[in-house]
Amino acid sequence: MTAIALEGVSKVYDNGLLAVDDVRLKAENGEFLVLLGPSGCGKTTILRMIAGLEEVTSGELWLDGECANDLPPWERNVAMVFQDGALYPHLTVRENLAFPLLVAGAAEKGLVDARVQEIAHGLGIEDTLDRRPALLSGGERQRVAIGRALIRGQPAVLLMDEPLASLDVALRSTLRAEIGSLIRSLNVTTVYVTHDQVEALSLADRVAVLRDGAVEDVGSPARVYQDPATAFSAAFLGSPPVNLAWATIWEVNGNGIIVDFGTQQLELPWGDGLSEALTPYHGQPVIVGIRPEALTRSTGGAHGTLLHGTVSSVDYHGHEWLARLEVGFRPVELDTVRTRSRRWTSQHPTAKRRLRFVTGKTQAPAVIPKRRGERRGEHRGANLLIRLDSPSGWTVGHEFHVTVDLPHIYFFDADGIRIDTNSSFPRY
Amino acid sequence: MNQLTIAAVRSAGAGRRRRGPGQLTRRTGFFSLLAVFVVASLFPFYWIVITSLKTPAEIAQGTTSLLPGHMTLSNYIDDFTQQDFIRPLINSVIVSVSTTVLTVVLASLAGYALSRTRIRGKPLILGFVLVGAFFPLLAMVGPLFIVYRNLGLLNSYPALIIACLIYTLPLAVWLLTNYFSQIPRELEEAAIVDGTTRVQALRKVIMPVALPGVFTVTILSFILVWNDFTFALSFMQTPDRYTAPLAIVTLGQSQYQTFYNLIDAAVVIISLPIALIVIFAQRRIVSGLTAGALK
Repeated sequence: MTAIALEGVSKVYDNGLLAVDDVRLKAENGEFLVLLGPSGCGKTTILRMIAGLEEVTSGELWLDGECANDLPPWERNVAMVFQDGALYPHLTVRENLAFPLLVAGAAEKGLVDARVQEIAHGLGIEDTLDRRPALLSGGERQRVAIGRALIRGQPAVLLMDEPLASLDVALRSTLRAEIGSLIRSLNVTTVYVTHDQVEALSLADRVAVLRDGAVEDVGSPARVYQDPATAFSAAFLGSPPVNLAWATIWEVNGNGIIVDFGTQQLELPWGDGLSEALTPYHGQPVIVGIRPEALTRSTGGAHGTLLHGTVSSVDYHGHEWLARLEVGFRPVELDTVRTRSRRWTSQHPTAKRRLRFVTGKTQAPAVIPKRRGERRGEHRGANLLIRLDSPSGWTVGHEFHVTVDLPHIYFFDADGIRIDTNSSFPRY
Repeated sequence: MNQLTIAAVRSAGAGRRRRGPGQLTRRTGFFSLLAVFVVASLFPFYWIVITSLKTPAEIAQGTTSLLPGHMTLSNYIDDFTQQDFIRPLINSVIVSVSTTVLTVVLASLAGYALSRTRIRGKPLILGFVLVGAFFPLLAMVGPLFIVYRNLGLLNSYPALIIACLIYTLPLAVWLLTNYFSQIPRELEEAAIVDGTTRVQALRKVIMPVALPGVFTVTILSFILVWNDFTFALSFMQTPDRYTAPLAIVTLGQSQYQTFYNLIDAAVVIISLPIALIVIFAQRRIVSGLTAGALK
């Protein structure tokens, strides 16, 4: 049964900001769904709507088969882990963990204590049980927050709002692995919000890539990575990022497709469905996406699959090298491709104007801050990024040829929507 | 050149640190100035305390000695037995405690509401509240008197309590609004998602966390109301309703003589609760006013 379903859910704030735009998402029972996207894309708002902390402006939210739009948070069977933990500072860790059970009316103190002990042991925080949150480290605090969310045994839905964002990097990967294995063992439906694509790909059963309040792509991590539905999704996932460039498609009569980058060309042979999909775009600009791993040093392949360029840099990244090749392509500015207006227009239903206590921010943040080090899918310059196992033979300033692995490049139309896929994965 | 500069630097620095005659005069000057301030601030109270310990005979003599010749507690006893100071004290306690309780309850609710809701006119509301704090109280006495007289509330506790709320509420609302604003919203949201209703979240999570701020407001309110003279003078007509500061006016006044020793004893009695509160709660008051970060 579907644990969570969002049907055409929108959220409009009082100042007219369209935070979530007609989102359609589902999470099955026991599924780990990750909402991935840059700051301000609406992923946290969606999470808060599932929790009941924000009111759904239009559309329907279904929890466990029941329409939950008007259900207050305390009547929904959800548990939430906040970004900063949100532990009760006046209670010890033990009391923090026991809080949900006591609120639910668990009478037997012995049972509550046993359960607290069990959860604390499972999360490795037994030593901290009698301390106050102020004396804990960031990692310990998050563990307590997770423990508090899980202590009720079987919440229908577990919600996590970037729980690892405030931790340092080393701690992040450790805790991420622990969260992953913990949640898998519990088999509870989880919705996890993050802007880190590594977290998304490693933890998720399914990933939903969000941008400007709408879903760009949704599917299993493998599918979203290998077979992206939009240029934004291709650019957001993957490190190093995918190479994106504008090109024009020319169909040569019955012979194949020429992908014209301006300075160079690729030739696609006729007949593998790819060329058929591209034929309608004759003479039109398209966006071509080539992942760095789809480029290899040329050992003399077919002429139509070769690109050449001057090496501008070879960077050492520890486990691999990244080379940049100047190829003179026109780069794609994703911020200009298919941008969605974030203003509410008369076509959308009116946001309910009511005084809202505590829950429901009726005023959206004025400026959506851009996080440092965060990916917005920009592709700087007309360079190709190539992954190398060894830098031998790659010298800066020399011209090299690279072979493009044709089945593994992506074509998107001028709006960033994928052209050539024939996958039958559900986009929902 | 190097030698010269090094020597110059050394002598300049040493001059500052050397304990020469200049240093000594500066220190004595500083401490004597300090002594002047301390004496000027504390001497009145010291005089009151020793006067309260002097015998009536000594007062009659008009003594000006700095130390009591013969210390006695008879004044304090007389205050309670002959002058019936207990009644005014009880009145003060009733008015102060009632006003404080009302202030805390009302200001907590207001502060919570003002900090959590997003109303368009919020700066205006807060400004208006602050105006109440700075409004001249004497100007309010006349109108209030008339209103109370028409309502038949003169010489009653409620009249004074309501009037004293004017002292305490603006400051309390302002302090508590500030304090509540610093409590992160996520705390209540966490409690709500954990299963409490909004009211339960307020009771179980917010109030305990806000306790330091509420404590500060309680203390400040109590001090403000305890010291009130103007309103008590205006609204309390009969001696059995006088509050303590008011009672002092008629205390120790006989046709022929003013018994300063009795008056001063009463002053000391009145000051005791405030002094004790400030001594023991001083740190709390300061921290509540500066309201540091919670995390």
